[in-house]
Amino acid sequence: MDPETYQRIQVLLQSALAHEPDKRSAFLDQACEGDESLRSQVASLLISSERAGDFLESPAVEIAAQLVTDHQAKLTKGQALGNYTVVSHLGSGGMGEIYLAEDTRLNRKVALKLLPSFLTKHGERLRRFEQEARAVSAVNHPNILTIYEVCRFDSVDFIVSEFIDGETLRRIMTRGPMSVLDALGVGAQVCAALAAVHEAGVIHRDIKPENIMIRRDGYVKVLDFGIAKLNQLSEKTDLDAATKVKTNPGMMLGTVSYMSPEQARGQDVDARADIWSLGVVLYEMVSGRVPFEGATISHVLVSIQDQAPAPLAQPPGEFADKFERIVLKTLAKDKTERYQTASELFQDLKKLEKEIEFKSELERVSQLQRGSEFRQSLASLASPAPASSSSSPNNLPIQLTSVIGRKAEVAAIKKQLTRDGVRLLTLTGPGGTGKTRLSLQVGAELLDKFTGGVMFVPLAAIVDPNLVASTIAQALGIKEAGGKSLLQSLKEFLRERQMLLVIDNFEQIVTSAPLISELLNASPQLKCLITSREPLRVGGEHEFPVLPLSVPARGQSLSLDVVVQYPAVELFLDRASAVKPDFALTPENAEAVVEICSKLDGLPLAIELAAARIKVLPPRALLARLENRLKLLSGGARDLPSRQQTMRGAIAWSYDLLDEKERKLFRRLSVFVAGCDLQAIEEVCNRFADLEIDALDGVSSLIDKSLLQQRETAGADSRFTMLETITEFGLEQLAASGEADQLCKSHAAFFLKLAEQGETELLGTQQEMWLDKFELEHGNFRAATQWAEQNRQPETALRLAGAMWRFWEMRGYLAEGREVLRRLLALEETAETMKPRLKALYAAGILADSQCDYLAARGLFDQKLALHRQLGDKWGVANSINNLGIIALRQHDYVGARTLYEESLELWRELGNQRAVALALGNLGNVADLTGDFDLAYAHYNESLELFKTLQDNRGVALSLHHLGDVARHQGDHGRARPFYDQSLRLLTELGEKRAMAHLFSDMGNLAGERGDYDEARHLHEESMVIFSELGDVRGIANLFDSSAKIATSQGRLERALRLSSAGTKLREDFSAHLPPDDQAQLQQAITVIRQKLGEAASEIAWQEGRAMPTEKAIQYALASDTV
Amino acid sequence: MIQTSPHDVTNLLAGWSRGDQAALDNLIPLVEAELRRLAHHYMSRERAGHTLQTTALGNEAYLRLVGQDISWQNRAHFFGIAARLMRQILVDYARRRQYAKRGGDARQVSLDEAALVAQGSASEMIALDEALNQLASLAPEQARIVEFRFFGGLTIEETAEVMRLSVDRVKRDWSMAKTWLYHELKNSD
Repeated sequence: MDPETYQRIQVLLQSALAHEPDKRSAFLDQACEGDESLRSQVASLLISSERAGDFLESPAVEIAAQLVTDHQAKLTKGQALGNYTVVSHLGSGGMGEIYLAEDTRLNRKVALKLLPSFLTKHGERLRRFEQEARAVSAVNHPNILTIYEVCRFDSVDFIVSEFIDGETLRRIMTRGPMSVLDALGVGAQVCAALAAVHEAGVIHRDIKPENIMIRRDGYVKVLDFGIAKLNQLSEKTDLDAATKVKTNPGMMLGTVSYMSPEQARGQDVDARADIWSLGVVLYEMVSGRVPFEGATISHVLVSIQDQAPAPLAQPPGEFADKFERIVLKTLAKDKTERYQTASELFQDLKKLEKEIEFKSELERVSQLQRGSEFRQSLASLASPAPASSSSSPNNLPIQLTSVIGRKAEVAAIKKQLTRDGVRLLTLTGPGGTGKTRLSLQVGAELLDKFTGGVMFVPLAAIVDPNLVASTIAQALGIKEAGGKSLLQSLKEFLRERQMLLVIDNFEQIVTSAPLISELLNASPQLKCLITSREPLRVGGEHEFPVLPLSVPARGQSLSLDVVVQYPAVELFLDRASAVKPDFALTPENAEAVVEICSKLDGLPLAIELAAARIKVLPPRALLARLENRLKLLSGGARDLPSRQQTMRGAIAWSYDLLDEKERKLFRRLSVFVAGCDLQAIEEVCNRFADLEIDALDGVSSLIDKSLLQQRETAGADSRFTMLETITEFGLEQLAASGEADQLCKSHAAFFLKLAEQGETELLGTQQEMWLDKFELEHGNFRAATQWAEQNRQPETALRLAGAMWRFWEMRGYLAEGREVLRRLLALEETAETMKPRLKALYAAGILADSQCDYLAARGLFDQKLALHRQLGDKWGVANSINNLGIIALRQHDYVGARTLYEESLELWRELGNQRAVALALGNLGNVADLTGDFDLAYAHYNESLELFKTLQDNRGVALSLHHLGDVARHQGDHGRARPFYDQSLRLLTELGEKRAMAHLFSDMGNLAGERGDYDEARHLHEESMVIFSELGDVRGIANLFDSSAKIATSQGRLERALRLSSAGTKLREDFSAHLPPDDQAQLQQAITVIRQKLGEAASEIAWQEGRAMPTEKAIQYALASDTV
Repeated sequence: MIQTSPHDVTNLLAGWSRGDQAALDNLIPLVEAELRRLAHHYMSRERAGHTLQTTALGNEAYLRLVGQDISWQNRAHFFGIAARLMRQILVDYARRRQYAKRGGDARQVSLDEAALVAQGSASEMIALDEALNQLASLAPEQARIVEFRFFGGLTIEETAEVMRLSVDRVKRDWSMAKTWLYHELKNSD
């Protein structure tokens, strides 16, 4: 272009602009006279002239300011800005450079954050930001970065804030997804900060991982409150609004991803926008990606407004589900459907965090008590293993030594087990071939293939085929609450789990094989790996014979390099070097070692026993002694299969090598079932101080010789166990020594003492620990009881059963307990058995009551009463009458109950037993309360309360307060009920009375529900549910279903009410935990009313849906108030 | 910090107007420092809530630099120099900045807002400078009007006064220059 053309264009352009817009085109056609190039230039300039607008209208000095200051705003080390001396550059933040500086006046470290000039140019904005910063700082919240001041020095604007020694969440997230628990911890702290600041009227507007820092001590700090708002006006200062870099792809993607839909639409935001953004962060922490993704900003914006987030790819489980529910609620497109306040969200996050922590704490404690025997309690039905643990749930004992020479087998078994058609695989082989070890190894290596977990069920201690189901249930943490249905609940538990059951030592109860088939049929994803000396011979069984380790053929001359590659030799060397580190295979000893392995048929256990002796016996000497022993043995036990003979020979040989004191200890140890601790060893094996060897020394020696195994149980007592093959030999030796009877007697005496001690402890603060101890020693208790019963020790047997009842009742071994008691009570009565009989009658009565078998309970208490009367035992009479009163009350025989209670009260008054008087008054209060005589109930409860107070019996005080709250509630006086409940809760919490707390929480929840505070009701019922689940209290859980149903009814959510009622009914059916008839009738009536309202078809659907829910699902359903 | 004395500046300006290149070299840092101070002052004024008077800027710079007792001829001359200086300095900054972003510290290119805004204005500044050179070859007066208006911060009236043109003429030329520059900048890429 030349100046003339430019001139011409200018003239044409200005003339065209003088025309009306719709005339301009025609004007140009005419004015350009066919010069198309000219015309198009003018036309395009016309467009530009319309668009140019403010272009260049703002003086360059604005840009100058920006360029000048941006250029200038780089601080150097040692540079002083007022009181602040720059120490180092910390990094580039979203807004500007950040420096570590020293506050020379206050002598502390601070962070300086430079504000970019485009912000500082907007003075009004900056001023507001300062105001906001002050407001936020005034909140003074531990999770908010404290801003000391916003200041300028030497033309530099900067924020001075607390210096955080830590990392941004963004950085932490680059290391991979976080656990739900960790995410909850961070989320809850951010939420706490938001709650505090929202209350001060400040919205963050830019919650994202870059703005969240985690200090080294775990404290979370939220940064940059209000900066986002400051940022909004930045665009105005551009050279030209039309050329803003806004559409630059990739730009601000990081920030856009956290925008709420309303932000994305450019609408005004409030606190709920921050809640959304936090939801995005929660999602990202756990999944490693943001919920709304897109290649460009606009894609992301569309996704935010229209798309549902992809499910969080988390290992399934109740915690992950709950977490996802929370996240989804924060990410509701409609802000009125989100959490409305940060406090609300905080509560939910905190609660879930507590739940997970509580669960893992529980597991930790359980592990402590039970050794590595992991048991999922019913609590874990509600909440499976914490999502934070990376592997599937398992109870596999940790193996201290590696599996030698079994690589091929492990691989083959794994391959077979992971095939679709293979669901029951039995490892067969004689004792000592290493089946157990192999199964454990396979289980451990398949953990990631079985999301439902790998559970180990050792059956060595079980001889009664009837106990197989309960032993499996026990290993899985399923409580028995009515014998008949245990199998059913076992099936229910397994139905949806992709689980591998490793069942060890099945050979003694092969008659139970059909049970395994039944479980497999009921649970499509279940697989079983079983070890047994013989196959189960049921349909679908695959057998995997475990062969001994291969041994070089005799007479073959092989180089050492080749010899050590034989698994048997490898194992021998491994175990030998464990006891004699410098032991190595040499040309001199190689032949002997091969010969030993060969003589021992390559049996791993035999080889281990032999190698353990290498310390004192060089291979040649070892071989010589071994040969003798094996020859000797084969004479006597010709009927045994040869390998079994070899195994026995090896054990016998190892036994022979013990000194007499050790032999004595060894054979005595075989009396224990499923292991024991050191105290039991000392008191049972050395009861008469005739062991001649220190128990610990002896035990250590036996462990060295591989005859005994030690299982470390983090923090708790070590537990010592014997392999089944070795126990059998030990028992033979014990019988041969003539000590068996005495030993069993000592064993029974020890466990009787333990049971009786535990009986009282089960009511104390150590309740859970003792419950676990009982569980751990259950095998020993059973053996002791059985021995006493069969060896005419009825007193011991009755006392044991009498002491066990509380454990049976609490852990739900109701059927087993009642059966044992029935058998023992049928034994001949003698003078010595009178007292324990009374106790056993009492125990049997209570267990019958627990199963709602009131007829039986009444018969038992009647029997007991008669005996007490016969003995002239007033206390016992009063007690029995009281118990009969309870049964009468259960049957809603109020007149009968009152009469009985009054009678027992009279007796106790005569006896001067104040505590019993207080209890009886409480019972009378119950009758009055149930019959609607509230004034009388108050009077009784108050009198009872005062008595308990005088007696300083806080448990009683708490009970009375609970009762007083009940009366107030039943009267409809909610305001009066709550303080009673609260006081009671405080006391129970102090006492650690979990079960009482669960009942109280349940009633408190009912109170809240009656008040219409359904949220509170749900929270309290959840507290209750957690404890009931943990205690395995099926009745408690079923009652909570009823309570939730009641609340649903009052909310008008009839279908939910029906589902819950049917779930409760089903649970009671499954566990034969029937409701008392009157309650049942009441429930039935409520259901009938709902069914009428809802219509038959809809009702039936809801009812069936409720029945179809497995217990864990139903618990979740009951606790989720927002489900339909 | 270098103390700027009006006397120094006046002498340097006189020197530069005589064709003394060394005078310009000494002048630039002085004006630069003054502009920086002005830019910040400008912002702090806005921060204090005052309405910005763009017209005051050039005057202010002028007053600060050369004092009040200056003839009208010098005044016009000074504004011309000031505007050109401003242009030179800004383009220079923009170049340095762009260089720094592209090559100097590649890792620093975080796509955050601050960087992009500055980046945007830097490249636009350079493009504007190039277009302005082109304009000067087509319509030198229009280019000068842009310098006065945009870089010097003068109003239409002041520009007309300094350039001894009619207000209407300045308005017309300013409008054309803006349109043309806008067109060049938008259609260049």
